[in-house]
Amino acid sequence: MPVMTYIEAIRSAMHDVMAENDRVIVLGEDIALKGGVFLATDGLLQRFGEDRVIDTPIAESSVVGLAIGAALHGVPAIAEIQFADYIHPAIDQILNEAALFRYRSNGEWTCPIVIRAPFGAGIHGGLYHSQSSEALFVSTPGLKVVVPSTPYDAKGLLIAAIFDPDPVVFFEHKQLYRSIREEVPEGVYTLPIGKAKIARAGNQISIFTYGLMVQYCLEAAEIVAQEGINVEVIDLRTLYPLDKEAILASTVKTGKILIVHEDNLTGGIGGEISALIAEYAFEYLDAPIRRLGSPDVPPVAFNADLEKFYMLNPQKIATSIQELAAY
Amino acid sequence: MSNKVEMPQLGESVIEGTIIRWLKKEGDRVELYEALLEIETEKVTVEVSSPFSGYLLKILAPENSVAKAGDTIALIGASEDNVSASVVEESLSEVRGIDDNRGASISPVAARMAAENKVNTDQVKGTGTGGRITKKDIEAVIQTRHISNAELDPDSVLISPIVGKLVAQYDINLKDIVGSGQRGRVTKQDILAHIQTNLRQEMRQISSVSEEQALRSSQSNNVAGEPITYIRGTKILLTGMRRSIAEHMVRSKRVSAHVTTVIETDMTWVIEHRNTYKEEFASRGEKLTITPYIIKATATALLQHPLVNSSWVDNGIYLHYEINIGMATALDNNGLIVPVISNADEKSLWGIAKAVNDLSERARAGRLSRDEISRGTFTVTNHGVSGSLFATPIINQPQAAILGVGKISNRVIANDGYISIRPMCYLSLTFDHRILDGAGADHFLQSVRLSLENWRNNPVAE
Repeated sequence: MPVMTYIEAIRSAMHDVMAENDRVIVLGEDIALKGGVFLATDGLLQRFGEDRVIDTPIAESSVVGLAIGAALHGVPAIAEIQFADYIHPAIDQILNEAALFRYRSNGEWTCPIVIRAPFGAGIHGGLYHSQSSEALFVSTPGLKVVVPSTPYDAKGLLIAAIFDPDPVVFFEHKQLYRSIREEVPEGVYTLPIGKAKIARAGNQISIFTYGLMVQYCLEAAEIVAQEGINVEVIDLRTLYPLDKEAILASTVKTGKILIVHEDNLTGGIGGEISALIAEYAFEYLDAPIRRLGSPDVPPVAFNADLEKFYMLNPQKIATSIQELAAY
Repeated sequence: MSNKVEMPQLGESVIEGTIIRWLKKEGDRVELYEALLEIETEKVTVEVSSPFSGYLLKILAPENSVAKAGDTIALIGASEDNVSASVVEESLSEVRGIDDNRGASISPVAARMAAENKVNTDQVKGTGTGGRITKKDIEAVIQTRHISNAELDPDSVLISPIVGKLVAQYDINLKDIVGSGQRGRVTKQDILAHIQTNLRQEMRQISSVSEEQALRSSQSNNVAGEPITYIRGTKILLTGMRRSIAEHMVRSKRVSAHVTTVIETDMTWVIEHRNTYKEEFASRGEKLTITPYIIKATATALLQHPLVNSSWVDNGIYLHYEINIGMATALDNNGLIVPVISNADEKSLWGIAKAVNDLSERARAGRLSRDEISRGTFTVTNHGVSGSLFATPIINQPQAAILGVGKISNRVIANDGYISIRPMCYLSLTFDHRILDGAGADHFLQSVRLSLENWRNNPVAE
């Protein structure tokens, strides 16, 4: 089985689906000739031609609008937003148009688009290349929001998203693109959207997390394992709809909860998960539910030291785990 | 000219006192040094004598009022003297008003706040003028109340939701448990550990006697070494082992509701697998018999049916976490011992084969340790080796069931309308009907059978 980096897995997903299904198209800024600023679509133009791999103007609303139009007419479209920080002009198309087609058409029409975007900080990206935008999309029924944390998951979930008849917003952490590699099958395979994964089994403390933070939480779990603290790490993988069963099952097992996300603390999905647990698993809690997120400060700092200070890291997470374990 | 009677200082640090009783009325004649009134300070009641002769013109501090040392509390003078209103005013202003027994005055806002928050004003020190209790004083009391609640007093206990749930479920007294959480909080782990320890003690009590005897007997059995000869018309004396087996069997029958259910299983694929791998196992130093297959299939089935891996305890059924399968082993000299393969679910076929061989050898040599015959959660007995087709074995207490494996014999069976000859084996499960019902027991047996009949799909994992 070939070993791929996260970005190679993303490329492989699009390539393999487009090879099997000649109606799927991909569009976005710089994705065709250049192959994408992260090379996510490198080689696709040569393989599939300019009818299916389309460079667009710098106009995010139009990128998504175009994708929607194509998808409605039986051409599943993958729209790349170059950085999640640029997604805002397309919000109306995503929330008001794509998410509502089933309703508007009384179930006759669906909108099979995937909106892919790199997100997250840690590469000195400053204001407009570091944001976590997922919170904007996790309260719109009709959408799905997927955030894979490993190459294997990224390919399987992206293919599932392309096959999904409904719109999927697909966030890829840019720091994971080249920093993580593993065995990824060739050819088409899918993983279920809406299902979390146990990244590390444990029985004392549950950590619910996604994206780059999954890797950091796994490192933190190793740090505290030295002190005999046994941590379970759940990779949510899909933020909307949340895998409520997995969240509650883990809560029942441990009774102590830590939610970790790179998104700002306030308004991040940690609040939704906390409420879910408090409402349905209150009797199983052995400590107050704790959340870790980035500080409620705009924006992600550009200065390297400040960015490091701003971001979560395995040591900060380990400290929180220790406090929770001692409660 | 009237003289002011001043409140005396009744001690170096005493600054005030309460007028308990006037011994003279207004208008009475008072002689010098005659007893005039009684004052109380702290716990001392003192009689105060009049510093003047004359008539008690005016009492300015009535009974039950509080006066500070130096306050004017009465006026004594000639009877005709007019006590001017201003003198009275002046004197009165030095004396505090009466609002309660101690005479401390309190502002209306403070009084309302105290009433609303159930603050006892007797115990409030007033910081207003003349010792008046103000709103700030009441607020200070309420503040300190909150702080002292936050510093948990040792008798009050913070109970998290799961701890409350477990305490109710297991009927535990929280005071029995030492808390390892912050500020001495009893945590979920503390409760679970407590339950575990209690249960282990209970288990130990149930099984310790027979284990001890069985162990000693098996050890001493081989030291003797001579086969028993049975001579008709004589009595054989009971060995320790015989006694303990007898006691256990009778007790087991008495305690559990024994029911036996039997199914048959086709051992074709197990035999095929064994024939394929027995040489490889032998080359690595281990004999491969049918027993490891049975134990592995049983372990898998126990994972799927946790109720069969349990024990009847006081007010409940304890579902064991570990899967420790005992192997009933016949010893020479009519003995029986059950060494335990612990965590059988975590072992591969190879691992189980190793354990089976090692334990049976040491069982027959009398070299098993205490650990190796205890903590079993299920037992398998291979009664088929001596030709028995099916049986009704007795449950090994405190377990929930025991699986008997009969003789594997080639039988004619009907399969899809065809007659074929297959190596068939009866599996007899005796179960405790207190814990399991027939359906549950049979489902477990079916799981065992499915594992055995699907052995071709099981890789021999390392």
